[in-house]
Amino acid sequence: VQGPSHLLVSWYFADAAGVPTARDRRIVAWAGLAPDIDVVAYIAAILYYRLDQNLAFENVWRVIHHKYTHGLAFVAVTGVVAWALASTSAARMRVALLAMAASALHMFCDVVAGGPTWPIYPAWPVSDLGFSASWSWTIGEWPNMVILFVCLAGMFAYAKFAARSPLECFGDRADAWFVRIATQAPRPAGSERSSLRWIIWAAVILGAIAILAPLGFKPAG
Amino acid sequence: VTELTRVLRWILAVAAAFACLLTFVWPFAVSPDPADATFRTLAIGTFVALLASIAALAFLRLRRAA
Repeated sequence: VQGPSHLLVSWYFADAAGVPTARDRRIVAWAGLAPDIDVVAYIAAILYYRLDQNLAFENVWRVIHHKYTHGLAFVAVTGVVAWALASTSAARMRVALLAMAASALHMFCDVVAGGPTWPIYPAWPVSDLGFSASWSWTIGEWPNMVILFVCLAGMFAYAKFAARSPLECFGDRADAWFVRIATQAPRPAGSERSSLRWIIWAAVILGAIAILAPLGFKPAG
Repeated sequence: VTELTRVLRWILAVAAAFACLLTFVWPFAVSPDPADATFRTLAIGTFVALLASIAALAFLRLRRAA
């Protein structure tokens, strides 16, 4: 499952579980993407090796990807962070449990739909056992593309009919902007900073890169 | 919350719990080799149940909002 799909599915998961506030849905959604935080090390490695992607891949990405962030220990860390960030003290336990579930489901989805190349390490650091299925479909195969496009279509449907969308993950203003577009509502005067538009376009471009990069920039896989 | 929503949430919770068992318990308690047919059937079934229950709950939410 691709990064954007993890984020979107986790937001739908939070909404399906009846999480009432945007802040808590946002926490659960980001918890569902959090195990892929190790991509930061890959980006740092690319910079460290002066943009030599092959060196960064061989020396860093191949070694660390999934190793430290795709196991129960990271799920526990996610729960603690979610507990600390939850909107109210009454919601803390529920948000933490849902965030841990979203993080764990990310790993389950990677076993089923992340390809056989990258095992998860369910019990790291206690055990180094890697777990990956040879039958797992890869990131560019049609089931993953269907999941992504259904999630994106759902984003428009939510904005149009429920007046909110998974764009909540990027803030209330981004969500309000998207809802206004989906519902074709007129823009309230002076309601939008011009910098917000650039932030949103940057997020869209980053999202497109996040989708296409694992496919080698070939959407057909 | 309607009765149908409650049932779907239960299905979602059971599917999520089962997914966690398959991911974190199965490799140590049953088999570290996920290539076997039983694991494949259970994993894909759980995956479908998980996504289908989330989709159904989203559909109900949208229908109610519309």
